[in-house]
Amino acid sequence: MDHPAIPVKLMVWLKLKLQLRGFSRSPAAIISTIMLIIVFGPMSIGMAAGMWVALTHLKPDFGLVFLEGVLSVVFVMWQIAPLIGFALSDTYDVTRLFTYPLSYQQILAGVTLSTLLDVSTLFLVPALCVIWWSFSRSVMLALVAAAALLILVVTMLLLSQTLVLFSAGALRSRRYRDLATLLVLLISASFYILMHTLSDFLVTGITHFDWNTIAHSAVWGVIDLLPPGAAVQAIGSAERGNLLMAAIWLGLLCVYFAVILRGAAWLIDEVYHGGEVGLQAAPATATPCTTVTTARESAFMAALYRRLPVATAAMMQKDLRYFYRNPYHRLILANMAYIAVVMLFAIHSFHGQSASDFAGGFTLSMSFTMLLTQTTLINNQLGMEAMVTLLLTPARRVHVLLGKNLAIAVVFAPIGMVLLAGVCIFTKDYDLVLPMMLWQCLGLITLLAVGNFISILSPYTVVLRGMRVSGAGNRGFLQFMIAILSLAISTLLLAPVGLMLMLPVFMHLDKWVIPGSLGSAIYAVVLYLLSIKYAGKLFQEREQDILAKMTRQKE
Amino acid sequence: MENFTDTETPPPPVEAPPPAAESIVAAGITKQFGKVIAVDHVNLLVREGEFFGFLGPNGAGKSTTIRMLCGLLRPDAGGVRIAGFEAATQLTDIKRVIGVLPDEPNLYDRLTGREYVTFAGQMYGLSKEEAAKRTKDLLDLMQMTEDPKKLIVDYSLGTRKKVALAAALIHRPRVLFMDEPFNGIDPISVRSLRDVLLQLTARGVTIFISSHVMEVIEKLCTRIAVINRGQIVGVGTVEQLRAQSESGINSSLEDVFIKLVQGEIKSSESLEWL
Ligand SMILES: Nc1ncnc2c1ncn2[C@@H]1O[C@H](COP(=O)(O)OP(=O)(O)OP(=O)(O)O)[C@@H](O)[C@H]1O
Ligand SMILES: [Mg+2]
Repeated sequence: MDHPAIPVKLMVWLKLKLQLRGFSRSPAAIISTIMLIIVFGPMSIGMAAGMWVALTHLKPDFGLVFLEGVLSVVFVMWQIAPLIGFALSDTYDVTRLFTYPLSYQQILAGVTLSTLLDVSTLFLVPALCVIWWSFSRSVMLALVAAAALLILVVTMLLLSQTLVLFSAGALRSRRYRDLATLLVLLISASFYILMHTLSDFLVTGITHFDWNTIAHSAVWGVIDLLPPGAAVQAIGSAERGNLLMAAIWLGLLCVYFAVILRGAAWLIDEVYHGGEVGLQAAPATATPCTTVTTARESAFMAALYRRLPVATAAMMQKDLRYFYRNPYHRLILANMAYIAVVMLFAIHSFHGQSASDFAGGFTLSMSFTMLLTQTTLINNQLGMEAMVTLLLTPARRVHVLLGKNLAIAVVFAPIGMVLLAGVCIFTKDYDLVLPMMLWQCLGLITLLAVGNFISILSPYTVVLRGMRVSGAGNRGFLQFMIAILSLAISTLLLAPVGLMLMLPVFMHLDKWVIPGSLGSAIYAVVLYLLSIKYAGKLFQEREQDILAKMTRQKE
Repeated sequence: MENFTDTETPPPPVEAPPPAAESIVAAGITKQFGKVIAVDHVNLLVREGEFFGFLGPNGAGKSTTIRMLCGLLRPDAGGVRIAGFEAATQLTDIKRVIGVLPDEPNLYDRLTGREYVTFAGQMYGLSKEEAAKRTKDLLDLMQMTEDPKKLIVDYSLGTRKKVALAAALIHRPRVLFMDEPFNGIDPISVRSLRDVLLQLTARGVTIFISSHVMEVIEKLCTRIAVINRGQIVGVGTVEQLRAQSESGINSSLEDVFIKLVQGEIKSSESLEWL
């Protein structure tokens, strides 16, 4: 392998091969891709059509501003999406490539070029073609536009892959993994705050939408200097016939690419070699490993453990330890934290409003969101189990489930109750405090009842690939659809609890408050008892199938 | 295989061994993965207290057989009986009396070694105090020198294996399955482990072990089975295997093994470039 491009070509070949293999070996991958196309295909065409309308109908100046805005949003989305859990590309584990005599630049180039073949990237192609076509009024302009768009897309993918690789490495490295979890919390929280502000802006701002103010905003001065801006500026300069400026902007774009490439190589070296990636038997050296302080269990917990069947207590204690030691569990807790942040922001933003009914409705929707966030864990309770070890034990499967449910309840119920009580007090809806707390409690019990069945019928191994959490293999989207379906089922069965509890409170039917609460309590408890009885049995019957399914996924 | 269908077994740990001389019985077990027949009508009979070796080239079906014997994988055909319990109907009873060290230990890696072994003990029904006490003894025996606060994710391969083995022994199993247990364990620990295993068989524990290390198998095992391409090609003591393979009286187990699986030693003449 003398020429430096040969390994890069090989990597692209490998990616293609793996992708096609995936299709030929598992029908799930095909279904998954078809669904992806059905859902996102129209969006992709729609985006291209929108682009066409905008570029042909807006005044040239505004057209460029619009283009710059859209490209910036796409650029940012590509960087953030993988970090907060949306897999844009099924990157194979590049750490395997580190054994070969390749430079990081080669590896990055290979990975980046491979992602050009990803379905998500292909969805951008129609819009890019439209952009290029609408600027192809002269040969020179067409050339500049093609170059600018191509370099921009490659830079975007390169940066995105760098972030993915970096976060994957950071999370696996002994030195950085705690930092990485903290970072993901910050990124997802700020992302959701951004989304919230943006949607607020859209709702209030759409009526007095003023192209002039937006087009002449000072913000563009900064955005112009960033990669999407530079690309659009290059096209704009060429359009005005200023080829020198166009060349300068293209040059800036190339500088971005080169700097990111060098920086990425350094970063990846640092995090994978400086930070000691785990897994491959790293000899025990004097590096700072994560050690744990075994917290003294409180008298209450000790007493509780003593009352429970031994296996239940053991399982519960193990899962509670996982809650503060395992990145996946931490991510879920982080999710709940960002809901809290969003709640605070929202409450803050309608501080002046008098309508308390609005606040009540908001609290209700937040309480729903809070509960449904918990289903990530509740609907896949076996996802983080060491299944072989677990299934080798003779422990009664009902006891195992019970232990897992209890751990979840002990963590989630107080968080939900305290947060919502806090919100109600903050909005001065004091009469909502108790119903809301009860709702979080009974809702959780209902979700656990449903979740036990879902966990057993559709378990998938949780793989932490960087900061993304996903079911393994290229069943990604199918797994996603199953998750959505499960969520729908959970919501459906959760609804009666909410209705019985909340309807009397919100409609001021005081006579019905107590019967409603009782009714929902009975509903939740009966559902749970049924679940424990039958899900335990089902678990026992299906355990070998579950094992086969979950170990196969891991490959 | 309908004897010993005693469903009213007392809760764990089972103290009195069922008075069966047959400890592991596999009757025609078969497993097919796609087009590959990984295990093809395998019959095995291992008696109580035997130290039974299971040999075969890579991909011969050893791990698959072991997974079927300990109830992790359902055979396509055939039946398994362990310590008198039928795998098809009394899986939980079987799990109570067996200990398993899988080929790739699959552990709860966010626990410390100590927490993990105690957890395993509790899952077998031991009280927390008892489990903690046994954990300490076992980990001392395995010469675990790790910082007690270190998580299993950060352990080396051999240390993980030791932890998995401790977890497999904590409930005093009557039958012990071990898939390549010595792989990755240092010589000192291998020595002490061997002593422990011999003591166990002396107390009537049955040990079923797969390995690629011929010397260990030759020294330890009372009987050996050789599997090749999913089929058993030889069973018996080392002498019996010698006779079956028509090897010389002084030939080593390695020679016998290679003859039984009709292994062909490739000559390295064409590798001059290396
Ligand atoms: N889950 C599976 N899916 C498909 N094929 C499998 C699976 N498990 C094992 N096989 C196949 O079954 C055959 C036997 O595998 P097995 O792991 O039992 O071999 P082994 O004797 O343990 O080999 P080794 O000495 O390498 O550990 C192999 O051809 C393997 O590819
Ligand atoms: Mg094996």
